[in-house]
Amino acid sequence: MTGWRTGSANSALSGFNVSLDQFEGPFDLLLHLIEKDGMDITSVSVLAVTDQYVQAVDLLSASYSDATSEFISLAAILLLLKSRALLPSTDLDDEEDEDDVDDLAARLREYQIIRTMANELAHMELNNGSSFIRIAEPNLGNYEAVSKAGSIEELTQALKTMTARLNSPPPTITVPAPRFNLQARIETLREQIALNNDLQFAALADDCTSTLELVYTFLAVLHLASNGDVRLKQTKGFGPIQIESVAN
Amino acid sequence: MTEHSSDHSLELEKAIESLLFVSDEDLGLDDIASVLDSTTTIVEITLHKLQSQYASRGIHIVEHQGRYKMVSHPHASLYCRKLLGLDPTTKLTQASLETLAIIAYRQPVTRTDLERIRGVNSDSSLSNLLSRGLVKMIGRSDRIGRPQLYGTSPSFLMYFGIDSLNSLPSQELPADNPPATPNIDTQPNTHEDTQNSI
Repeated sequence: MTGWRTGSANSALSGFNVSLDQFEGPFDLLLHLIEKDGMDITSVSVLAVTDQYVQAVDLLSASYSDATSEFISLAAILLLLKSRALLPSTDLDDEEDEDDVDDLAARLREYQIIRTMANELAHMELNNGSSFIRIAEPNLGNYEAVSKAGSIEELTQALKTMTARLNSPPPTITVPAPRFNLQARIETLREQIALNNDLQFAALADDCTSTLELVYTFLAVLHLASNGDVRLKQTKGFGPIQIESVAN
Repeated sequence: MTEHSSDHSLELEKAIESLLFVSDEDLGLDDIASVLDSTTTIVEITLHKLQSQYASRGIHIVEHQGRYKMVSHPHASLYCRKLLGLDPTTKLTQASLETLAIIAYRQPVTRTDLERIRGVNSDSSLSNLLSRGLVKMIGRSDRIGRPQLYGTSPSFLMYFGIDSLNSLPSQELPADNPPATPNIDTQPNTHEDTQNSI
């Protein structure tokens, strides 16, 4: 008994304002009590600080800690072990392996190593920088690239077809632009595709009389494709885009 | 003959270097060996050669559980964070550090192992480490109830700026270095300060 309540020189915690919160757990407190006296962790030293431990927990458990029950649980185990040591007649061959004092000392030594390694990690966290990987491109999902990119000839051919369309005489009469409704466009397109299962996007585009209508048509096609109502097919790079209805 | 074989190993170095560079994920020895039509032993030797060549460069090759990848040098941490717009991470608590130390040095471990070694329930520390990606579930134990087993993730190495688990400090207790004691004068939960000053 060290009488630490009265603040003698070898008391564990006297003169300080302490709480259980300052210890990471019962092992941390027990280890602190053993180490402050410069003892090695042995069955003997564990039992030697039992009284200090029990007193500390008794006093400190008034301050709440998440682990209060674990502190008290170890106090109970220590008292049991000490009582066994003091009363050699007690049957030590109980099947309570958990409560073996050698086992406790071993666990405490293991905890001591871990606590030291935790300090090493804290040191590394503070002093080592971190490494980073190369930032990968965002994953856009399963859009497969065109397996065979088109040739230059095909690209120029596509461009020619396009410019031919642009060069065709523009409609001479300008009527007020109709207000388009995407939902309506989707519905008419759906009907159109149901009637003609082999529609090309270029044909749809040709039917459009204004850029706005073309935009709505394009959006409607995309919408149907994303809904899975139609399948878009382009057999070669820059080639015609085929719109097929998905057979039900 | 010797000329030919050294040429060959040089080609192998270039090829492995290229594979690591283009790869989005870490590569296993068998991945590389099968692509290069080589053996895992030869690939491993070449990788070690590459690792030492990279030691003086701004890119490191890290190895975690037999898988390799290229990462930035930890000394450039500050600049990388700045470029990538990453906020400085909050430091791990003492409880999380202890839990992480157990996982790093004793892996694979179960929740019960963590609690047995620390003497307190460590679930919240574990979930914090899991959410930070420093540890991960790596399988299930054969013990009754088949509890989940936890181990470090490749991000663990990157976070602490080390090349492999072998680069972790040795776990022998230093003989003349008394372990840290809680700093009793300061406020609760300031253990990190104590340890860092030691």
